[in-house]
Amino acid sequence: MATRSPVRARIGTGAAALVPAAALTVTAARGAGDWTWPIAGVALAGVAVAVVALVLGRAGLVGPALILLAAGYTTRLAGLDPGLDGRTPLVAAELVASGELAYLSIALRLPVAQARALVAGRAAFAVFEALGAAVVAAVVLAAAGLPAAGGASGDALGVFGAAVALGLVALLARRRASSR
Amino acid sequence: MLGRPELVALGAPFAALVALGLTLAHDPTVGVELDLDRDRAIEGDVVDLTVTLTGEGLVELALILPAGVEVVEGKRAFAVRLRRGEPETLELRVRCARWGVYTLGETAVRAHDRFGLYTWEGRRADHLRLKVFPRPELLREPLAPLETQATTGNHVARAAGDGIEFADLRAYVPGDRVRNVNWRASARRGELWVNQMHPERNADVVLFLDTFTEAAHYGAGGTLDYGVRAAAALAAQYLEHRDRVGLVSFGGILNWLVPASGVVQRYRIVDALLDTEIVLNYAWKDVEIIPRGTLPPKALILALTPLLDERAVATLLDLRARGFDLTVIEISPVPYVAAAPGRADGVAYRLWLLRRELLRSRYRSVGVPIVEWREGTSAAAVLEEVRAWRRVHRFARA
Repeated sequence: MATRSPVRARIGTGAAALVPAAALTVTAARGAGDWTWPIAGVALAGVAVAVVALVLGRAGLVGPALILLAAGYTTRLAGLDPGLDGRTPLVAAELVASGELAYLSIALRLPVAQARALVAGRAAFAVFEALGAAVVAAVVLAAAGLPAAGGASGDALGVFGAAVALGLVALLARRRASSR
Repeated sequence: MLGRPELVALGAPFAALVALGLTLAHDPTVGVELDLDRDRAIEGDVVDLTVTLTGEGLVELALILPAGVEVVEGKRAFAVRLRRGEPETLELRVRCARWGVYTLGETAVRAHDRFGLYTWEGRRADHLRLKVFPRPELLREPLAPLETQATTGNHVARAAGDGIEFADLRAYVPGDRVRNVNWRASARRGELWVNQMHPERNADVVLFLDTFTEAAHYGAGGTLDYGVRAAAALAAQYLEHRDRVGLVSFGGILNWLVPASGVVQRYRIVDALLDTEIVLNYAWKDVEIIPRGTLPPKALILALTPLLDERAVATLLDLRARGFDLTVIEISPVPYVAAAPGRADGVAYRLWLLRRELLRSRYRSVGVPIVEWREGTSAAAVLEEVRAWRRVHRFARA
């Protein structure tokens, strides 16, 4: 079995990672009125950091790029009417897809055995993760839109849910760390 | 703070991914096995290296190769997706750029979990030994010794006896064989004359390798490199001529091989040469420490030396004083030494060169042929220079 540096696959997945990032920028900035340019500025900074990460092959910059993209969307939410924004599942899917494809592109800097199968498998997994993210976001959004979720009790429930989620993650991480 | 549940919806998929990744992650069991198609090669040869990987998930692997061995086909570092129960085999071709004994098989392995949350890193060492022999230079004719041994070989002896090469005529004495009578000379002189012949005998050759010190460019070969190559070539050539060849590696550590003939001796010599290295040592060493049987009487001693260490220089002169047939092949360190800028450095450099020339004339004055071997000069040309020197200075030799 031969190994080779999949240059085309690396460039392709890098470009594919920038597409959802750019789409997220458009999603966040479109129709934001006076907030259009501030939102676009923050999100475009995220795109720029993602480009730098892909060009330099620095996986550590992908995280900040995603945070800036999310910050662009958050800026939009801050300036919106109180109603729920239905585009959130789409934004979540774009964030996940952008991050996964960026990491895949950086990983492909190394020569790979059976590159085509590996890239196809990872790309399919990224699409699956993006769809899953959209579903999870949609479910959370739907739950937030229920009539019972309003008021102080709703806030308390939200805080409790967040704390439980964080605690669960911390517990799993600790169990993994102790088992190694 | 913002009162926007969308942010929770945005963060929830990431939290779910982290939770899922932490739940499903498990320590990988990656197996790496390396195999060489052979364990002996000649300098410049290309050897097949097979890497067999077992395990599960995405694995990155980097081969850590020693200097002197380089990958010519395939990649030293690569990634591969492994499936449980399906070993992946990768073929690489490595070139043995320089002689030596190498230990291959050290690998750096990095494995990731499905979600990329965890990375496991480790190093493995398989200790595959690869012996790379120096590529011998072709020599048409070895340097003949002044004295031969008693057993039959390929060198024409100076003494008269039964052989093929004509030596002289002498008057017939009772007991001479009729087949040796030279009828033409006998008819001319009116009495019987017989032919005398030179018998063909073998020789004892000792390769004396000076390993006290060397001159070298950083990261590249130096005088020791050349010395080892030359010794391997000379040993191969003399052994093909059915001579007995021995080795004395004279330096910080003394190594020796008693002269013997045959293919086994050739491998012994090459193996000993592969282990040759410069070992720093300040102790005075002379000919007395060389085991007696290593230097048989009438042996031809071919010294390969950069003439940098006083101990080797003195030992060679001592050997000549003891009547050994000595030839010094100087592996010149001059190409590795450049004069530093500055007037004083230039003067020092010229003085050093003059001192070396003085040393050469010292050897010549006691009847030792000394020739300089530099990079790019063929061994045949060097030996021819020795032969020419011997022809001219035949009577200077004791």
